Amino acid sequence: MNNKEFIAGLAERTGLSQKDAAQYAAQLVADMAFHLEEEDVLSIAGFGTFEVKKKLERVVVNPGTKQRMLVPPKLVVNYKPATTLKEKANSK
Amino acid sequence: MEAKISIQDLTLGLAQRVGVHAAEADTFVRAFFDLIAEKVVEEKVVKVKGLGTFKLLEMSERESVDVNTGERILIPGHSKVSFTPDVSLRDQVNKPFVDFQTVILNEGTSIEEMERFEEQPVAESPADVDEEEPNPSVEVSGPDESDGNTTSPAYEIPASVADGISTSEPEPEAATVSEPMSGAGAVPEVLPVNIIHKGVSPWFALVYFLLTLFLMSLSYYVGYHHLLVLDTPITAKPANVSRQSTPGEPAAAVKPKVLSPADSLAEARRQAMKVAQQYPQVPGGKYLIVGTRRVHTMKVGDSLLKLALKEYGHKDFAQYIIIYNQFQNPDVIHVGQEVKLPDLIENGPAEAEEGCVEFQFPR
Repeated sequence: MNNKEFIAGLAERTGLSQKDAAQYAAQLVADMAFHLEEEDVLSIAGFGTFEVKKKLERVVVNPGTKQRMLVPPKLVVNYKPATTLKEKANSK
Repeated sequence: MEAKISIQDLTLGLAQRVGVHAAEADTFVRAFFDLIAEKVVEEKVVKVKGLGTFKLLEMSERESVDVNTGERILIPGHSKVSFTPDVSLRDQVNKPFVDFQTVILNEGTSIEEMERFEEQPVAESPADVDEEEPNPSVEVSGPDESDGNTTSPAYEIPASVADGISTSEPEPEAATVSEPMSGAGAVPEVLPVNIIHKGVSPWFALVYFLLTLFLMSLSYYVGYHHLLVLDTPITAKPANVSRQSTPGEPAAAVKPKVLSPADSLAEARRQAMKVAQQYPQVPGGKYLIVGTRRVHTMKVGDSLLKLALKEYGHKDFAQYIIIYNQFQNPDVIHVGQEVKLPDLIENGPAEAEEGCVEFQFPR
């Protein structure tokens, strides 16, 4: 499901126009991104948790060329699905 | 920072941003996440622009080990929801580290070396002034070698000079007095200089080396030409000068001189002068040669300096022996050679002062 289909589905559910739904969705995503940038923890009941984790720098080896590379430290977004979502995924 | 944001906070934020009722925003936010959850299970992939991609991954069953019991267990196949953040979200979150890039490491570089590189700028600063070698291991040995080079001539010059003079060259006695001293003085001077300034710039080392060399040559010159040691014969009184000379020698003139009271001193001196005329004299010497005390046959290990020290109490008197015996080359005295030891009397004070001015050794 791509973004277009997703917006369409969202508009259908909420009774909003596709344009509004797209705008709301964009605003919501921007808000989430803002919170994540502040390294907040986004805990959404029934869906999961978004969290920013720090990854230390490390040396990796390309197994094909045996070339070693130093990967810099970074901040990544980590998502952990809620238990209810996990169960839903497995019950199917 | 690191606050826990719940769905209510998102709702409020959305309501503020868009300018809608909180209730409406709440409906939308819940619908948003419900739809993702629903569709990810149904269609396995949900893409949300600006947020990322949710995927349902099928995990096949696999074997594992129970961490508590150590038994092998079978983990049944299951589904898992994964999330890959959108590029824009990923970059936004990683903004603090955006300047870092993956670096390809060259062969031979190890992590320990990288850590050492970080330490090096501190430790290297005094060392790399020294020489052009960038390798720290070479640098350590570098100053040592240069030390050896700079100190070895400092050692050799006084050593060879002192050896040559004290063992086989009895004529410039004063040189031997001053030379080992100057050598001894110069060498400790050299060593601490090189040790202390090991890390200092090569210019300082060069300047110190040249300065040391200059001081050494200066002291050698001074010692060789008796510039500072002139008064040594004056202060050193021959131990046996007043001793009575052996009979048979022309000592008759000496005897009354030594034993006579003060009023007859002048006359005794005049007599002694007359006697002294017959013998070669040390030009400007403080003592006059007035006869032969005894004849010494040189043995192995003897030197004129030793002889003078033993006979007269000071090695400076070797010059009287040399003059008296008319040695052409006082450096070469053979074993078994007979050396006449002169009888000495004190010269007049006026002449003695004259003698202080300059004295050239017979070469």
